[in-house]
Amino acid sequence: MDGITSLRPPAGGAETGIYHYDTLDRAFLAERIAVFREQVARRLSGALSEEEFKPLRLMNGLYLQLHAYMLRVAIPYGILSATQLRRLAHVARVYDRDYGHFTTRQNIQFNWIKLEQVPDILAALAEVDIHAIQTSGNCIRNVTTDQFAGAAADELVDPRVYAEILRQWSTDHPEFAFLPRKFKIALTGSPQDRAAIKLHDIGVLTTRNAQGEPGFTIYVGGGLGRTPVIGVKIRDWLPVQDLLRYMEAILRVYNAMGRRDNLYKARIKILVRETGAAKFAELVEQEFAALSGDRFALPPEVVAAIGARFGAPRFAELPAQSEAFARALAEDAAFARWARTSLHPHRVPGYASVTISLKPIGGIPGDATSAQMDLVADLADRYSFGEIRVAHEQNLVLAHVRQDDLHALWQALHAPGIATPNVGLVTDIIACPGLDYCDLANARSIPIAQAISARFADLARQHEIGELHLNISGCINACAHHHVGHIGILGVDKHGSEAYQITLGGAADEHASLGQLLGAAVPAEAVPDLIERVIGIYLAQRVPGERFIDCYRRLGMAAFKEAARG
Amino acid sequence: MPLTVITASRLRDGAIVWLDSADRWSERFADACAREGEAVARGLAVAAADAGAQHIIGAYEVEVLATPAGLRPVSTRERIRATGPSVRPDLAYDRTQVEA
Repeated sequence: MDGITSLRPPAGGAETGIYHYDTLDRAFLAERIAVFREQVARRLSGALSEEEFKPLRLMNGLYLQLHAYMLRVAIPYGILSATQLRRLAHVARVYDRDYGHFTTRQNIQFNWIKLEQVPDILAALAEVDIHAIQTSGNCIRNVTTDQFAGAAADELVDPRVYAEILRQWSTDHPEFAFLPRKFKIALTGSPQDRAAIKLHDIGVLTTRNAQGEPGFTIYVGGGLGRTPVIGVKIRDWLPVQDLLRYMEAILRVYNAMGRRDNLYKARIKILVRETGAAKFAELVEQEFAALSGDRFALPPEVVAAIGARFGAPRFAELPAQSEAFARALAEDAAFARWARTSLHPHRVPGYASVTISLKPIGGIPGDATSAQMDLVADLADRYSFGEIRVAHEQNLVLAHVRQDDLHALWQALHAPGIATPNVGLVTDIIACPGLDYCDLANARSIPIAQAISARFADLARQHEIGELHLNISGCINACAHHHVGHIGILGVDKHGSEAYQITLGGAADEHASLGQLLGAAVPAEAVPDLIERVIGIYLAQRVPGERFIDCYRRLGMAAFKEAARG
Repeated sequence: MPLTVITASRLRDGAIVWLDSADRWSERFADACAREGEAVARGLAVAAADAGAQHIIGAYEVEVLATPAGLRPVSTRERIRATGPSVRPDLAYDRTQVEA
């Protein structure tokens, strides 16, 4: 049980949903910060060269980006307490330029960080049990989940406790600190995959067998970037007690056989493809069989102990349908419009999960000011047991809101402009920072998102178009997952100018698919018109109730090619 | 022979800096000194010495054009780097000379 917490009672605290640290966890963080403080001092004094320091800062989430240092802070499986969100707001206000950027890996990035202040920032974060460890480097990164985990009506098994177990197992894992390449794990407990598990190095579906026992289906070798691949299933059923043993086996095979000679062929997806999925699964099973069942077992009492360290919301007994909610829907059309796309069914009668759009029309996807973060924290305290989720779509979620409170919550969000009723619609755009911030980017993403958002600002039109996922990446690294957008946009450098390739037909859900190229890259100013033509073809060709992605799959690319011709 | 300026990031805070005509580092692109030929090599030598003294990191040359309004980086990337994020004009460094 190396690296896994001992069987101690919860550390207490009123906030629910997050894993509560104890003195051992805090001592570990304090030690890491002390070490990094010394490393920063040695770098500033010249005792460490930049070449020596770079891997050390990256292991603490600190990059040097286009304009400044950027600090990426981990939000484990995308769940924050109100206290933690307020602390992120504090960091934005005091150490940055009053805003942060929520990412597609459920983390937050601060864009204007000063190296000399980083140890103090990490200390401030550690006071509320958050850190930036393993948000960079060739290690196991932040484990991600469904933003509605533990709340969704369609969920089979709450994946959060297993995400936390994987977080503890992978944190500072000595054998997997220098993998061939970075490694990402996602979990979902719902048959409707909201965590894009087939697009991760390892995807875990938490499910139940015929006896009702929890366990896992394991996918491996998914990923986007330069070589997009949909993961393959290598284990249909894995009992809970074998989770860590099987993870160890996968990582050991990858660590031993993954390519280190070529950066672009170092991800596990290349190994799985070159080895063959069946052979790779066989190698994992061999490694699994050779590992000690005792040493790597995950006994039920450990799972229960870690589960107990999550505060549980004390839900009220409520009728399934709220009269106050029904009345507000009938009387307030603007509220009804927001409710139509912003709510997700909750497993507890009388509750709903609320998505707070960070995609104002013409705004910057995923950015939030410190004031907005503070407001959402206050609203989480008031309406959702002090808990906030970060969705990989770059929105925030209050997971447990009484239906009775929805109208009051909407009013509180509406005034400061974070109640844009566009969740899941064409302006709910996923976009990476692109060339405006990123040192790797070839082209800007955000201005393209802003232009498309402005073009489709009319909400009635957005609802008429219906569910449509549009993703924009500023380079082939695909941080905005453009390959799996219903409409994907990739920024490229074309003879020194920014240009954009359009793909259609991608999906990140349980029916994951990779988008296909529509045509040649076009200049930035042509993108909104091109998207409009694509959507125009969809609107003309769809059958009643048919989503864009379903229409594309029925008609195929040929039907949309004329859009590219202009 | 291309006209270039020399840029880097300041070690302690990551701020973008430009080598001026007195071989000092300025946060203003407008202060950047255009160099050609031997002057580039001399500027890079200054940068190497300052990197060794822990003042700056990641120095490199940026190709620029001389325009009536002043120097202008050739690439979009460098124009954004000289100006600030194009989507946050409130955070612009200095828009007097460079527009992305």
